[in-house]
Amino acid sequence: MLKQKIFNRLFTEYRNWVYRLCYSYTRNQVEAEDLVQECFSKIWIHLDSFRQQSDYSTWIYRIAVNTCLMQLRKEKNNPMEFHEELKDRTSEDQDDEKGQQSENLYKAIAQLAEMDRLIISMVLENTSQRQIGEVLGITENNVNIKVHRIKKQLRAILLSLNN
Amino acid sequence: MEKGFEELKVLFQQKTVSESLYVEVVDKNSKSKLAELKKNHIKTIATFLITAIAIVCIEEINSMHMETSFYGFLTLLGCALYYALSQTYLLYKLNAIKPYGSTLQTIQELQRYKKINIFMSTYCEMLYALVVLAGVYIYLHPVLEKIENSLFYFWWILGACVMWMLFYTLSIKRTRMKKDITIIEKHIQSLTELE
Repeated sequence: MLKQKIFNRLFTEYRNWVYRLCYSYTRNQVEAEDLVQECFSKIWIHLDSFRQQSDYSTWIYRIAVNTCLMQLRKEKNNPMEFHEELKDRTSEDQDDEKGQQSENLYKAIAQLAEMDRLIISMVLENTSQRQIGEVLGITENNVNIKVHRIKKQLRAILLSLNN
Repeated sequence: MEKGFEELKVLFQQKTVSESLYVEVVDKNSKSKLAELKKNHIKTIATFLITAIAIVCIEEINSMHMETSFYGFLTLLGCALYYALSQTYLLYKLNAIKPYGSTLQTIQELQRYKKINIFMSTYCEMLYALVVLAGVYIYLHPVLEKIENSLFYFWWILGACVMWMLFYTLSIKRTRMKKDITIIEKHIQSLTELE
């Protein structure tokens, strides 16, 4: 039952992180939750083969990132489906001001390039640059440069959205 | 500038996943485990239905060349159909388990399925093996009676078959059954931990 215990701990610890990452890609609550389910199903299946060569967090980030990127590929291959789903992309949080701001932020993130979305999501989750580098397979220095550029870009998009 | 970014972090981290998601995730994982059991049942059902068809075909061909026992044929056909039916019943019982209709109910259904599975894989399996052997003997008896010394060799072959069936039932089948039971027990455990 060790597997179940480890899984429960990982789920509790990372579910929101994975959800926010998926949401920043899909901007749809149902779709994002489906992706979270898919991620954690993969985690459950591969938990036995996890070799502890990296942290659980890095491993989970990689699974989540790959799942999101796979989803994006699928959507690109089915543009009609993607277009139709866009209509539904409204959030239940839009009622209050904070919710609106949060929604704007996700909207802005959605306008970034694929990889940039991922990086900024990790930065916004307080993930260290070393870990971001490990997940993406790039150097810490490279991450630093990218983060600086993406932050600037994100602010510009947010500004245009708020105006 | 960094202060503004800290605010963005707060906004970003505002979103949280719904509480019911854990149940859905575990449900999905459990379903994949139960799906494995279902697949095994379906495979066995298909194998024994094919066996039943094969028995009918063999009887059709044999009846043209030699005299065989009709009761033996019926016994063998009945055995193959019984096995397919018993597996269908187990599959039906497994399909009746609806995870998260109510956790308690699911656990009870799983335990019921476990008991039936153990009963069928032990006592029924032994009985089945004995009836199959008897069926083979009855089926071939008219042929054996006509050939000199054949009964002597037949008993040796039948003896070997009995040994193989005992080994198959008590060892191979038992190992498979234990594997199935482990899957069910793990599923029950994961449900219990949810409560």
